[in-house]
Amino acid sequence: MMRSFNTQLEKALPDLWRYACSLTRDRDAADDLVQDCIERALRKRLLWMPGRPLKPWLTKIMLNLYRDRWRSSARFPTTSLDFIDEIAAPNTDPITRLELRDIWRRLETIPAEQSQALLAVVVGGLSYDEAAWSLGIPRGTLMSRIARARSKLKTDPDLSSHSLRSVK
Amino acid sequence: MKHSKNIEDLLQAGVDGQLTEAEERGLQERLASDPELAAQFHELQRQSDLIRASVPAADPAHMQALIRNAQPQATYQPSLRLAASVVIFGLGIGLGYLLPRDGAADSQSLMVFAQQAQAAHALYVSEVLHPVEVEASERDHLQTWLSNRLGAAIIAPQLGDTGFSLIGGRLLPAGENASALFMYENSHGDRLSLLATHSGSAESQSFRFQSSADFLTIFWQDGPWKYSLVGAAPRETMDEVARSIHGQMI
Repeated sequence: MMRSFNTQLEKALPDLWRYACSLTRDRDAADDLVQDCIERALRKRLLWMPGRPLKPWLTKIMLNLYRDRWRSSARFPTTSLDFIDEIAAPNTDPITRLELRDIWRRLETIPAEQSQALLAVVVGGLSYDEAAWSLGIPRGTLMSRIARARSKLKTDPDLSSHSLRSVK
Repeated sequence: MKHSKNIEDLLQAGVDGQLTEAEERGLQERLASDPELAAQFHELQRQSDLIRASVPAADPAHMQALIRNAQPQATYQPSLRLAASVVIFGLGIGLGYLLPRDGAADSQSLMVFAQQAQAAHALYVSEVLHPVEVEASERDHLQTWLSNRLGAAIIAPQLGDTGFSLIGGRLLPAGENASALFMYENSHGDRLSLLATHSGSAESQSFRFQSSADFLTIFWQDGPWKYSLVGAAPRETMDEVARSIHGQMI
């Protein structure tokens, strides 16, 4: 059991950390969140059913921790300037940089349940079934939340046509 | 409308890599014949790629450090859990004494027995050195000893078919009576406990389930025998084990 648990933990961790990063928008906060998540997972290891995928279970634990913390500190995720600099690496062209800032700002303004669903799949690398299980919602609900998130993230037609051109 | 909803689901699932091979081929065909749809698809894809690419990469060495830092420092956590188990165990015993012993309370006393079993399991499952008093290597002695103390013949069921083998057993109180606890373990290190007690009642009650945050308990009564199976295994496994025990104990 130990080996399988540890192997799966190591495999799931990069995606889990990136998901934490996208939720908290802060490297240190992501570190804290993921470390607390591992601690809790190790404590509750008896509850994990051997042979089942560990990643959705870890994600569920992490989301619970994230929500508890977010609720208790009433802290809205705010995109720090550092993070913006990091997500839009200096070599990114200026228009994509603008677009990225725009996307992450919009992600702050849409309902948390929608951004959490979208980021679980896009950044967390979870399948629809895994993400739905982690978030405790039916698959259909997950898909419509992701769709709603995407439609709200659509950048200004102006901006996006610019960058479309620049991509070509 | 229905149609357009379906195509949007298809686009989205395509962007998220959630299509089967056949669905993927179907999508590609539609995109090839519908430039507007193709543009919509590529825009969604571009948006996702942008988000994905903009999140910092996870450094492998840093991930290892996070795992290391999260390892339990001392035995302080388990001992807390142990203390909680003792309290629950005591509570279970206390309840057992408080409840009336007439036939009407049989159902309730079975519930109390199930709680005692769960507390006992919680207490001994994490015990590394002495999970049992008598080990499975002394099976005959174990069975004779427990049968004498329980006042009725009991055998430790064989669960080989389900992958669990006997570690051993111990004697525990259950209300006014003695009870026998058998602990099993599989190759993953998962442990199950079976608690059995013998009392005057001749009633039978079929399988019931009770789940707590940590464990699932399946309990039943077969004439004078009460049984509780406790573990953290999936419900299907627990069910299979319980049926196997039930079959052997008749």
